[in-house]
Amino acid sequence: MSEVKQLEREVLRFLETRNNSWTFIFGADKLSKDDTIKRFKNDKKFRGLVLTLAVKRAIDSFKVETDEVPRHPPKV
Amino acid sequence: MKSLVIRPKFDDVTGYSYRWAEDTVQVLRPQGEVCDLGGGVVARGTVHECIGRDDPFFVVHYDHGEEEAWMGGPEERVIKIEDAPLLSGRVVYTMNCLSAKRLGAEAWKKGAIVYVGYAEVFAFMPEEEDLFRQAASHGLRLYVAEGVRDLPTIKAKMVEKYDEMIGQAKSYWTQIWLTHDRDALRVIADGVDEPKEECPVSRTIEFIFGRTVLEKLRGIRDSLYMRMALIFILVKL
Repeated sequence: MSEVKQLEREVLRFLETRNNSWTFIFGADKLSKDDTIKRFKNDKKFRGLVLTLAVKRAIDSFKVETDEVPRHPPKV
Repeated sequence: MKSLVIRPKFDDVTGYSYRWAEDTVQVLRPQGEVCDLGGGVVARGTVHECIGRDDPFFVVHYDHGEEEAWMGGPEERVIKIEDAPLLSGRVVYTMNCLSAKRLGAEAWKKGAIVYVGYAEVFAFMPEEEDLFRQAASHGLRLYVAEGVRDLPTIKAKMVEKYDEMIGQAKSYWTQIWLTHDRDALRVIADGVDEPKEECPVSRTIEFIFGRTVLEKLRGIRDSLYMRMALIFILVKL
């Protein structure tokens, strides 16, 4: 299985394991867990955006390690 | 200095933006009178009346947005792209979807000091909303409360704030949407996030002679078109 398919599967698994009160605001839309899953499955553009952002986030994390992006420790 | 804060509330999502905009009201109030419009649907006429009456230096909008408009209600567009000249000479600060793309660019071309906004859809997670909320108002706080006037610095510090919030986010999902909003942020002003001309001829003129000359040439072109149209109508009559 390609890495993209694997990432897609993991995002879906993440969404499916959220509790039922989980919500996400995307622009003017308030999406429930099920709405988000449906959108991720059916809306190619949205799915592409999520996957791109997931990769971008990973790239940013590496940049933090090389000090290209300021390091901000999580609040304790 | 007077301010105008537009924060309509007419659905679940605007319930959040209405509350978040309270941060901007708190920051602006010590500076002078704040025309605080919100809590329900805001009418276009009310916004224009407030701008005409108070001549606010700061104009803030927290709500739904489009590429060419700010919303005041489900079908109410309180500021449209043709209203861009109204924002001239003002500091414009928005937390809405998409408006930095066209309206923001136009406002800056028509003389807004700065237009802060987002060129893509704004997204957030209610369960970690405070992270998004803090990042959203950070630029205004820097400008007003901390006196930062260097706009490239404000952009850099806002990006830094988003990075800080990403570092504090518990969920990876929250992190990716903070990343999305950070990258959609535009601080449109001289020397930072300046919108590029789409037309190659305009781009070349701007590059060689500068924006002022480009705008003057546009003015001449428009008045020529107007005269030609008038002559055409008169000949036809």
